[in-house]
Amino acid sequence: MNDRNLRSCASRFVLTTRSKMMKNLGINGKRSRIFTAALFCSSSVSAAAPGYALMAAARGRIAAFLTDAASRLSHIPWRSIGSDALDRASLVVKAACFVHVVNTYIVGIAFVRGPSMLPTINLTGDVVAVERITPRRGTVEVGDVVILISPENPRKTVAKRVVGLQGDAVTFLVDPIHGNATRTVAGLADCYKVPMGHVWVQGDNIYSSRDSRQFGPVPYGLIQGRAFCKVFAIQIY
Amino acid sequence: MLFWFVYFVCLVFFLMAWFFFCRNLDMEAANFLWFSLKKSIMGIMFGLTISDKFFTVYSVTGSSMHPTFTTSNGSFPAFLKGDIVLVERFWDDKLSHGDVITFKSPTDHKKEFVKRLIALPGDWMQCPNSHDIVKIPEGHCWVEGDNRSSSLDSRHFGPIPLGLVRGRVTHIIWPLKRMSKVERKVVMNRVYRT
Repeated sequence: MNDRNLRSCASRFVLTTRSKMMKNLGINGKRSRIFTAALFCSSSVSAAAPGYALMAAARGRIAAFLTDAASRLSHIPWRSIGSDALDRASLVVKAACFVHVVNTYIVGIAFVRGPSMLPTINLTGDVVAVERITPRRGTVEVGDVVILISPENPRKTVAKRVVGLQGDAVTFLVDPIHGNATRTVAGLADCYKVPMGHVWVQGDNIYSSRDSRQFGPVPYGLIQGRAFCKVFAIQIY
Repeated sequence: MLFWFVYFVCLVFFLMAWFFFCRNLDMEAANFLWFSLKKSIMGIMFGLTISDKFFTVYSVTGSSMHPTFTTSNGSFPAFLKGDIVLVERFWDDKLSHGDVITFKSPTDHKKEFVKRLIALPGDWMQCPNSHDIVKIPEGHCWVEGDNRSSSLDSRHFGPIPLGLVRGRVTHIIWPLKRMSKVERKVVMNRVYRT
């Protein structure tokens, strides 16, 4: 119940009481005015004493808090905070760009694991340094260990060794566990060479490696980098 | 292939930025050179990152996507007569049938081709010139150019691995009267999706 409501109720009460008093008791003139004024004060205070006082106190405290907060907020140096935040954000962006450029065009790190490149690369995983310059220039040679996107699953990258370049004839053991049958990709006829723009990759551990013997020659564009150095060998026995 | 556009634009952006700062800085010549060198290197790195991860700008050469794109002969400034397109890079695998995509050529890794994606892995499709129906192997896709008569595409080199796909063409941005979104055109009668 707000102030105005209270006041109107109180004033209505006072006026009706006053008219009743004048009619029934015959009090009029100055005495009646003094009496109404006293009645008015007492009625407005007593009728809403607890609620009115509490509300006024609460309103006062809220107003004081708001003005205090407004003055404190205006003292905070927003402009310098904003420019500071922008500087830090631009530093993060610059660092991210630098890391991306170095990783994509110069040298990167890859974590390689699996049995297909034993004994060169450990079963439980090795961290190798991968350089990106040689594949981009097109000078990958036979015997390089390359990291490439798997042609069977574009979300997977695999590490294998290059055994044949475009135009080469490659002879390989088809299934070394079950015998000595070999096949030759190439022959004297042109159409059986490793095609243009492709490479033939094989894992070092031919007994358990899924490579070009299963999925065929791989386009050169899938090669992501050439591993040249083992950075950290994790040996878990 | 004209991605130098993006680097140039970023470089111009950074040069404008330092121009703006330079007005209230007094620098000697050496400092000034070092400052501009730093800003240019930053601009180049920024341009390379944007071009590799978000979007880039290509100029289309070759007539294999006629009439979707008109072409030019690729040298400066003649490429301004052909179409310049906006290519967005992928964040996820959301390739759809009928998208125009760019991919590294399987026969020459230095060239990049622009063709339309016809079939995704696991689809069965009918080869255009024969009555064979082939299944697209796992991890590969079939691409074809809109202009059948002069297009070197999957009809010649077979399905290509998805790892070669580099981006999707979304808009033509030059010339201004051909500025538009590149629409997906789905071929209904030759592809049977699984």
